This record gives sequence, C-alpha cells and structure tokens, in this order.
Amino acid sequence: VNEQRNHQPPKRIAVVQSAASPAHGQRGHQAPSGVRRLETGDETEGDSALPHSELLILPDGRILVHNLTPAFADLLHHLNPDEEQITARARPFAHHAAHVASHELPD
Amino acid sequence: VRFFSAQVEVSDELELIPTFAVALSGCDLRCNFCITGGPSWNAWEGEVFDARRMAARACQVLDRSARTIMVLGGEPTIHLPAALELVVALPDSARLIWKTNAHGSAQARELLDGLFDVWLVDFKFGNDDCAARLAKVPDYLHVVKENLLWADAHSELMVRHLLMPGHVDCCWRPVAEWLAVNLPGIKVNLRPGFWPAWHAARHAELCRTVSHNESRRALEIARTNQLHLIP
Repeated sequence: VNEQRNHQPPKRIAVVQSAASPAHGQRGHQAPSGVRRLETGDETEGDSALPHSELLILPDGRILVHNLTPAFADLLHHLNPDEEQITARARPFAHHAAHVASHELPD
Repeated sequence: VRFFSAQVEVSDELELIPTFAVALSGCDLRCNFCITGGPSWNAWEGEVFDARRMAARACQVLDRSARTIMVLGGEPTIHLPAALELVVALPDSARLIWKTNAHGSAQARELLDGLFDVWLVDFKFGNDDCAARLAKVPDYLHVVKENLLWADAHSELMVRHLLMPGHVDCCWRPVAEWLAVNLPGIKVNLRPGFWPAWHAARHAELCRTVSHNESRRALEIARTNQLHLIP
C-alpha cells in the first residue's frame, strides 16, 4: 500500500451536496489537506447549512464514508444495492423521504 | 462556543439514525488521527453557536427527517453551558444522544444527569500508554471507566470503539475484556472504518486502514468475550 511506504495519508474527497461559496473555507469549516470540495452555486447561509459527506476510496475498492447524509446514503445504495451496510442506512431515509414526499412537500 | 457541523446523518448506530448531529468545535483530547482534527483541535473554527437557533433547526428536522438529536464534538463536555442551553430549548419528547469521549469530570456528569436519553461513548484506547502517545491525554483509562459505569447507571449506554490499525491487541482486546466483565450485555459498536486523517502520519502504524485480518481478529475477540455487537 502506497501510504505505508511514505507515511502519507491517502487522498480523500469531500462532497458538498448543496450550495457553497468559493470563500467558505475561510469562514468556517476548513477542508483538511487532501480534501477536494465539489462546489456548486452560491452560498446564502453559513457552512453548517451545507450537508456534506466525506469519502475515502481505497485501492482495493472499499469506500469509507464520514458524515454520511441520507441523500448520500441513498446515492451509494443505488450505486451498489448489494452493500448491506449502506442499504441499512438508506432504508430509513427512503422511508422518511416517501413520508415527506407524500405528506409534507408542497405540490 | 462554535459548531462546525449540524446536519441529518445516517452513519451512526442503526437504532439512532437518522440523527440530527450537532458538532461543537474544540476537544480536550489531541488524537492525532482525529477525522475532524481541524475544528476539534481549534475551538475557534466553525460558526457561532446559538442554542435557540440550533434548537429551532433541530425541531424542523425532527418533524421531517430525523428521529434523534445528537450532541457531539470535538468534545461537547467542554461546552457544557451551551449544551445545556440547547437541551432546555428542545422539546421533552426529543430523544437526545450525548456523544462523548467520556473523559469528563465527575462534576460535569452530575450536571448532565437525566438530560440525555443515550450516552454514546467512544472508548478509544485500551491502555494509558497508547492514550498518552496518540492523544496526549493522561490517566485515560481510570477516568473513562469511571464515566462508563456512571453512564450505564444513569442512562442508556452504547459504547463505540474505532478499531485502529496495529492496535487490536493493545487497545481493542483490553477494551473488549473490560466491557465483558464490567458492563456485560452493553451495546458495542466496533467500527473498522479507520482512515488515516489529520496527523495520523505522525505514527507509522496509523498510516493505513485496518486490514481484513485485523477486522477478522477483532471480531473474534468480540465473540470470545460475548460482546453484544450492534451495527
């Protein structure tokens, strides 16, 4: 494994699920070294309002996730429906999403 | 007091998710492998915490997409007044989780008595040498064990252990054995998803993830000690 030779942590990717400003790193949550944020749109609230998950994709195919949000669990579940750990975490979200869609969201 | 994250998450114990997780900046430990090292080590990172505003956000998601509220850090114990203000502003019916490293004082836990439904405790190290070397914390085991016993007597307790590469025998094994003897039947979440974050590279053994063999051996230790593992 590469990181064992040079004692460098592997790269990781932070996925921001909603709006973020180019300057967000200066105002609050600072992306750690090796993290690349995927940004879209303009920020209207503080960073805490931005749902975010972090992924570490390993050379052997394993994916480690930190701060897994329901939406991202749902996405990972669709990518690999056979992964039991993600499926278990996507299901509550699916239940809630269905509930929200049918009873609480405006038409 | 500042916070660096507040969102609905599903990465915690299945029976607690979806949870609205409020992460307060700052921590009393200095774990080199901390996955939120920046805001955990620097209490000035993040946004200003307003308990009433946060409670309003929590109530919104409780109605729609979360079934619990989790207060964590960093380490929330160092912001006890703010955490207590948040609890006061939340509805009594909300199921509240206190996620802690259990290295707080006896005075702190007495102030928390009866406020949280679940204590979710990170039992990180199985010996004081590893705790001092990796987290710069003295007298780790004595304090944490005392708080674990207290938490079990005063709330619902769940124990979490992040399996660290190279620390199966020095950390996980003694943690598992102590839990088996002193807190039999307690819910334990063994997490093998370590990743080398923050300053993990300062320690050669922490520069990798947990191997399949280490995960297998850790599970064997759990089974041998008849731990009640939860996902």
